[in-house]
Amino acid sequence: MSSSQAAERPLSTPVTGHYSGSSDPTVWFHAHYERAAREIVEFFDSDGISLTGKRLADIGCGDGIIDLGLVAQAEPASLVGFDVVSTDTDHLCRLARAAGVELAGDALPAALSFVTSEEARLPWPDRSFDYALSWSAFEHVLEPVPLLREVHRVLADNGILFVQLWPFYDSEHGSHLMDWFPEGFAPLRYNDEEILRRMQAGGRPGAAPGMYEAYRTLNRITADGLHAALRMAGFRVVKLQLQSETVHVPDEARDLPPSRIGIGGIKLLAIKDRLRATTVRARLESTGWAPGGLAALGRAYAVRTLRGALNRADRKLAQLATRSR
Amino acid sequence: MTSTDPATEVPAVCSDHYSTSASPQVWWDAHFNDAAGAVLDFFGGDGISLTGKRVADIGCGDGIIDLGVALKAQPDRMVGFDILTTDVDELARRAADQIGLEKLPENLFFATSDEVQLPAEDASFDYVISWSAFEHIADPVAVLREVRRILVDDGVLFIQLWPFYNTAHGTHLVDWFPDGFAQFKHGNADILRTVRQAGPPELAAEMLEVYRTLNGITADDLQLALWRAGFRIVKVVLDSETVHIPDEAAHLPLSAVAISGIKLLAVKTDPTDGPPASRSALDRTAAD
Repeated sequence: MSSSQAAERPLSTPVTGHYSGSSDPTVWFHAHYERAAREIVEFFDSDGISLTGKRLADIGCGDGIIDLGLVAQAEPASLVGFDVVSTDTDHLCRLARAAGVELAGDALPAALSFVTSEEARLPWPDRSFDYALSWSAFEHVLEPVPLLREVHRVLADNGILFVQLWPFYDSEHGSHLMDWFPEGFAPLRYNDEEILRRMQAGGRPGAAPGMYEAYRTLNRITADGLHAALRMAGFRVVKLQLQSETVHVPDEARDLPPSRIGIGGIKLLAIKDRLRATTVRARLESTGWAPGGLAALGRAYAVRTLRGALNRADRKLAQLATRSR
Repeated sequence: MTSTDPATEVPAVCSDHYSTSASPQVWWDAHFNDAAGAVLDFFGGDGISLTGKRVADIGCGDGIIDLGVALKAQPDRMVGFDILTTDVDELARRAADQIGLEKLPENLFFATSDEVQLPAEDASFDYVISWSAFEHIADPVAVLREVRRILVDDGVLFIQLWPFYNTAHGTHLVDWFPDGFAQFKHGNADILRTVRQAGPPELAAEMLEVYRTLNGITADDLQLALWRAGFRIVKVVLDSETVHIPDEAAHLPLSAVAISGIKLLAVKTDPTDGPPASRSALDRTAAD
């Protein structure tokens, strides 16, 4: 009795080929300097949140192109890019020049700095950032919960965390190996030996070992797993947008539920939660959800769904913990 | 599944097409053009044409989508099933108003079904469709088993479902709760009072009944129901809008809050040998 319209779905498509190592460096630069940075600014801005004059942190900044773009577009007071791999600022300047972006004094903006972090430690004082952001990084983080606890620590009490993640491991190109496996679902179709063999035999043999390693170290997090990790670290998601592309489900993926195979990516805003998970559970059980009254049936389902949700979240946490070990 | 008279006047807080307060024109376009077109496009994307085929619709409601499919795709026959008898005269009147149609096409039929039985022969349909119906069905597995029975072995099932229960407007009460998540923010008494206070009593009663009988199915539950009935999903896309999550829904998994709808194609699994049917059912159809 109702319909859903494509026109109502403001989902951005993934940055074209942004994870493809074969793309033109200038295309790669602008996909991040302009588009990714703009999507971050707009996701905050559509809730009336301006990054201008604020202290920002980028978790997993990589080559720093997005950070350079954010400084140009949003003019924050400061932006610190953190990554476990040191960001090569000379290389970033060269990329900018090659892409036709002028840098005043031929140097990076004074507001922009990069810091090498550890897996689960951000070398920065408590509550020193107004906003934190992360773009296509958390699928690579070995232990999301400890890192998110660090983000929680360095963020101001009324701070906001933006997380974009694409692609999720269970989605069509979640392996990040689209260059070699355009048909998708490589980890379900082939074992790791076969994946490596095909990568070495395919195009770009020089890039194969690095991308294979990137694939092997993916944490395989799901959207609900990310949610569980955020909650464990003391965050609460207040806004989100899923990305879903139409996907053909191969035999090998037939058992994956739609919530895993169909969610390609996510953008979300999270705040520090004052209501911890245990409190939620206690509140749930104390708030008269017992069946009765007119909407008894609907309520009964709601209770079941809520309890199921908590149980599922618990299982996800257990899975995450297992993987972390 | 319930059909709601779109002409009924209620305090219009939302002009959207899924609102009971949508104008007849909006409601017509949303179903005759948009929904029927979306069904045909989703099949068409895999090279499947319904032209000349036998097509069934499960939970056809007012039949507007069925008329759209019957006229646009020219199937051999288009049969709409619903537990509430479709008002054919009303459909003909609307079609005359909206598109100047003199009479309903010869290839369009409607049949009243009961909760779990479809009055149709085994393997008598090439394709089955369902649009925004499976959130209202008390026993989805039983109905899907019936769908499997009436579908030919290499048939394809299309299901669209929107909105899922846990999402912002999963209550179907958007007219009364435009901010959404009423199912988590308000108690039963509040919901009852709010709906009864605005709009005609019969509409309030009908929509409360709709709300009360929602089955609460999630996208993952739907896959499980399909699997139990002997279907596997071969193509899927999720619907998701940007959503602000209120405190009351903060405990729900993101997938539950944010997967607002789904479109899928499913094919029969083979019950005899365990391993699933491959996409060959789709491939065979596409090659026709």
